[in-house]
Amino acid sequence: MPSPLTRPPLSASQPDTGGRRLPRTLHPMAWWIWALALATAVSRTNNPLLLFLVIAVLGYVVTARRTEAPWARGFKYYLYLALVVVAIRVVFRAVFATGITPNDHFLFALPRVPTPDWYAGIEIGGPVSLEAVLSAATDGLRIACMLCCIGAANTLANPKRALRVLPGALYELGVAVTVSLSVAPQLVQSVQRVHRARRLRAARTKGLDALRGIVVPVLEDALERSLRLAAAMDSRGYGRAGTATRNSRRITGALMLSGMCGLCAGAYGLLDATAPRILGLPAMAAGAVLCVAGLRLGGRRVTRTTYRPDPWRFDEWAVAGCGVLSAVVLFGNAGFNAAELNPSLYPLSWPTLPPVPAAAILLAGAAGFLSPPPQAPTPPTVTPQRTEAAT
Amino acid sequence: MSGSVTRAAHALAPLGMAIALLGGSATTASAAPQPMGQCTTSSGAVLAVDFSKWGGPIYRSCGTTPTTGYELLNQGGWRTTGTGHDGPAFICRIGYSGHRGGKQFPPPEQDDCVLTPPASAYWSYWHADAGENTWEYSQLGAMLYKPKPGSVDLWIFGGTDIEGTRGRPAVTPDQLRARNTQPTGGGRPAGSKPTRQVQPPPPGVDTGPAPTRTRTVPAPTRKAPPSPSATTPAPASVSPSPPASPAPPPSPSIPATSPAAVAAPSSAKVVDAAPAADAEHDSGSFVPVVAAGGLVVVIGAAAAVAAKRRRAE
Amino acid sequence: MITFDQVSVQYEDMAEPVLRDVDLTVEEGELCLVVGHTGVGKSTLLGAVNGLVPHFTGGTLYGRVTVDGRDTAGHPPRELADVVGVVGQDPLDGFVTDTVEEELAYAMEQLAIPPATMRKRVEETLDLLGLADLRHRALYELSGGQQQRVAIGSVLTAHPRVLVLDEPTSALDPSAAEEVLSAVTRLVHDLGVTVLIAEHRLERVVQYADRVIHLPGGGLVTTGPGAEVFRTSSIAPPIVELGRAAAWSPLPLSIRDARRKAAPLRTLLGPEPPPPARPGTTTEAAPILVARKITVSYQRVPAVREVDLELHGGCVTALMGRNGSGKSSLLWALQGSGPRASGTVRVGTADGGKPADPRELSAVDARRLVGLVPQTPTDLLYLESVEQELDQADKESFAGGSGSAARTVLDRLAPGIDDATHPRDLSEGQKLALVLAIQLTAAPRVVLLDEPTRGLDYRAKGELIRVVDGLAAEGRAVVISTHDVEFVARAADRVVVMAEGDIVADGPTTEVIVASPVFAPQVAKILAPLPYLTVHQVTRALAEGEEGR
Repeated sequence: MPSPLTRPPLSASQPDTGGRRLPRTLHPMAWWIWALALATAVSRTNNPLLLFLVIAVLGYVVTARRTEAPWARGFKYYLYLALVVVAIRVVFRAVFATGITPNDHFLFALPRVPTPDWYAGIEIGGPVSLEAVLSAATDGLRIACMLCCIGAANTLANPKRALRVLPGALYELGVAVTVSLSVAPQLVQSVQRVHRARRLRAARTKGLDALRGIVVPVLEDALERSLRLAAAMDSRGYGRAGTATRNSRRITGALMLSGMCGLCAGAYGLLDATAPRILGLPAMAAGAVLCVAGLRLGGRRVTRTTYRPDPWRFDEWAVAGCGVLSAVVLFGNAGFNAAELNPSLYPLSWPTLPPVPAAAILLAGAAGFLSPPPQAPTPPTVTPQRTEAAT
Repeated sequence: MSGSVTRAAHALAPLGMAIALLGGSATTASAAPQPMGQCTTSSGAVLAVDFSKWGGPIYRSCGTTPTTGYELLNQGGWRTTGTGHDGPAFICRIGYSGHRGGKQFPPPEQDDCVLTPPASAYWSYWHADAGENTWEYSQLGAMLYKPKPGSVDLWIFGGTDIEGTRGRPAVTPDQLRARNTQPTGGGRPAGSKPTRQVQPPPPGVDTGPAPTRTRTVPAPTRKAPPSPSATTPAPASVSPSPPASPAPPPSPSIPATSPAAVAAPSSAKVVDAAPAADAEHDSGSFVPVVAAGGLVVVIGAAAAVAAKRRRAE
Repeated sequence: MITFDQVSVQYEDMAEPVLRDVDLTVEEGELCLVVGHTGVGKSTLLGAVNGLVPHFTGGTLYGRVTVDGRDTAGHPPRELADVVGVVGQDPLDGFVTDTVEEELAYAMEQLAIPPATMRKRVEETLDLLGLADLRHRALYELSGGQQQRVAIGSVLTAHPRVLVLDEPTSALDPSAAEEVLSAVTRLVHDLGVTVLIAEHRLERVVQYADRVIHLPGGGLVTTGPGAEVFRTSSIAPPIVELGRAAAWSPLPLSIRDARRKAAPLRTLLGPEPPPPARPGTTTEAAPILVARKITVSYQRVPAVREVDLELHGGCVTALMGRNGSGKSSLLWALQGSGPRASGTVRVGTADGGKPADPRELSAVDARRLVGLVPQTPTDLLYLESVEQELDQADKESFAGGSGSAARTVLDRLAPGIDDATHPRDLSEGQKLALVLAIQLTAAPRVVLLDEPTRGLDYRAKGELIRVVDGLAAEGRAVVISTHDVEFVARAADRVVVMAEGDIVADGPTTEVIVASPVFAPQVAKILAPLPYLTVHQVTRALAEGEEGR
């Protein structure tokens, strides 16, 4: 994948200036590979020590290598979201009781809600043990960690720039995401605006009527904005036909669709042991081939160039590599006891810190200094307009 | 950020310590383990666990009623592990202190017990009420199911479908259940000898009168098909069907040479497991926690330095 | 460059065609100003230039539009992107990327321009529009004028031969509008770009126009030099109206030309004080609303700093200031619905009861004291017809009695709005009237209007002034936040200017806006040092002078 992206840098800049590396933005794909690999590694373990280590590593890399751009300020929201995930997990475990055993450490009891006989498999309420809370918390922490990995990727790499790396045939998809990425924050703003304005009419702020009073103006606003954005994109040349004909466009669509179906069926076949054999690898391979063919064909029809393409150099290999390596180590099961990745809380015991996985996670943190420093933030200049007006 | 993480870690540490000091809380359960001889055709519940997947025998032990399937499986040296996702109620691993030092199966290499195990490899739960000779796939979890006196609970590892029509046990309830009507062997568990190998009900040995209800236990003299339940279609075995016609008497044959084994080869030995002390549990050392906390602090400090430097720039 | 050949445009849901048999030729390097009332087809005319009409909007276009030799029938907008650049009213709506530099490059990427050329053109455009300092900045952080300059730059990088600007300054304050328009004129003069520009506030652009395309209505189009077209056009900036009143010929279109012609007029008007710009309303002595030390801050950044304000019945106050100077925040804080970090508001009730703080009252009671029409009035409209909205307003205000109170108010503000009309189909001015009627149903004594002039043409502004005068005559205190100097000159008794959250000027309209070079209306600039603000004052003084003679 990266090989076609390796282009000579436009500005033939020396990689080294006076001992310090030249600040530049890392290729967004490198960050995404790094983060997704780390998320994959996280999916393997339930060990709270390793998970906290991952969060610390993410925090370090993000603080060291994020830019000052607007999308790069969002990591703390992912951390909040992570806390919410853990909290939800714990609350669910407490409410949908999974039972307490005599050996458990009783914490508190919730009132039990009687369930009908036909629903006897699920209990609501009842005693809650420390073990249950802790295991729910570690389980939630694992999901939260994966979420933070995605958050780190979003913070370190511009999402819209990352989308540009998509092959040409998926360009429409990328643009659809771009439009939603642009309109979504505006949607939040207009919800706030309309909600505030409702008080001016002394309209009810709760209930179905209020919902309608907010949804109708907000949706009208969003629809108009989307249309205006689409019109603006059209008049700026988006989607100019290349050499493709209507026929080749159809073939591309058919190839992509059947390829995706093949991939889905293949994944199902591989994951479900009861599925027929034919569904597994063969379907997966066929799907992949169809998709690649579709992408190739579709890539020919969109003609566009990239402003300041990101080069793929040693730094990119290093960052992506150390992420992938940590995933490989955690899935490799070599040099450590697999049980240590998922310590049981029944009975309660201290988690261990298996050295090899811990080292692998720390290695992923090396991305914090293997990557080049980000572009220095533009000095906070007083906007010219303000200086003019101040005189 | 990492500051808050370490703070959280520090806050957790003493909490965990305090909990660890509390030790095992008082057990108020009425259920208690019994030597196998205490189970009769009409009292006590028999627990059987099939370790044949890992080359072990089928263990059976006895517990008093009222009890739950979970309690039966967590007393007298038995211990289970739940999953991280579903909690202890989902039986993911089973171990017996008298078998390979209490090692729980499946081992972590085979299943990490984080998510719900796949339907193709998990501990399935089967019941046979007193006098029944067909297995019934449990519709309830171990914590909710209450074994009746004289019944047999069986855990086998493998795959089933939701109706329990596939992956049925090869061993029959009658091969496992108590035959005696009166408790035998004294009330004291053989504490010093946690296990003793007992041949399954030897043929011809009188284990007491048969269950009084509908059928007589036939003397296993013929080499009948060893597991009729595996061969007889069991439509709607979900419903607690009245005892099937006793005409073809199921007969536990000891040297089961039949090839019909599906989940558990009936060649697996049935071994009585006497109540035993719990396997030693080591609550571990808190050193790794401290070490991890230290690492997090160091990384956090590095992040702080990086943040400070970029602010200075 | 641009040719319209017998062009008619018909939308499915309209009985009459929007444009009818239009013949039009725009030469290369011309700056054409498109003028006309709301709804006469200005946007359709502009959209037809790059094929958005009918390719994107629907409808049927008869005739032929060619741009640089390409027929728009066979070329959808994207195929014309290298010839025509389009900039809309709200620049934020058209931004596709996140930063200035990427936005400038976007169109070129679509046109598959080689990276090296792109790099060069981006640098050139950054310099041309004075954006070099902002190249890495996020688009939404920029001020309105900067955003609009980026929007213009982002179409310029494709090197279009034609630039179409649809009301590029309507959301901007006077200095930002100046910034954008000077950038546009520079393009015309330096690069020879053909520019088509539509604008409501003609006073801002009329002096730059080489030619004026006038849409008088009925789908017709007349063109000619500004001085000729404005002699008879139904729509005209104050400078033209003054020229017509003084019978200057040829009609001057820039302040400089007008001042040179105005010397005799200034002597004629003489040193006598001008007649009042506004009908004599009696301002009550006791204030209705007293605000003390109002502070509003968002995320610890203060938007309004310890502002003191008193509002009197019968007085129309204009609240002016740059975008982001805290006008809206102040209005919302006065109404009690917006945040207020500290300070007090006291509003007297009509029956002379104890003054109350609207924030401490329920929403129902608060709007009986202070009514606010927000910047986007449609935020308050959510029902399917005007009638339903008015009924809902009656319910919300507990207005009993026979007939609909809201309907009565609406008929007085804007007569002839049909009950069955969907609120979305109303014109901007009618929407404003509907929301104002809804708010007035609660009979507040203080009425606050947040940027009501946005998107209104001269006729609608005239209507608004009539409505506002009516409200003041009923003894209400009215506050209007606006950028529109000409509107303020005609509508306001008092002007409050805000900057960075502080009130920097507060006084009678004449004193505040005549003194300021930015805020002075055209008439004041032409007749300075005479303190005249509106054409109406001049005509009255001239009439009185003749009677006196």
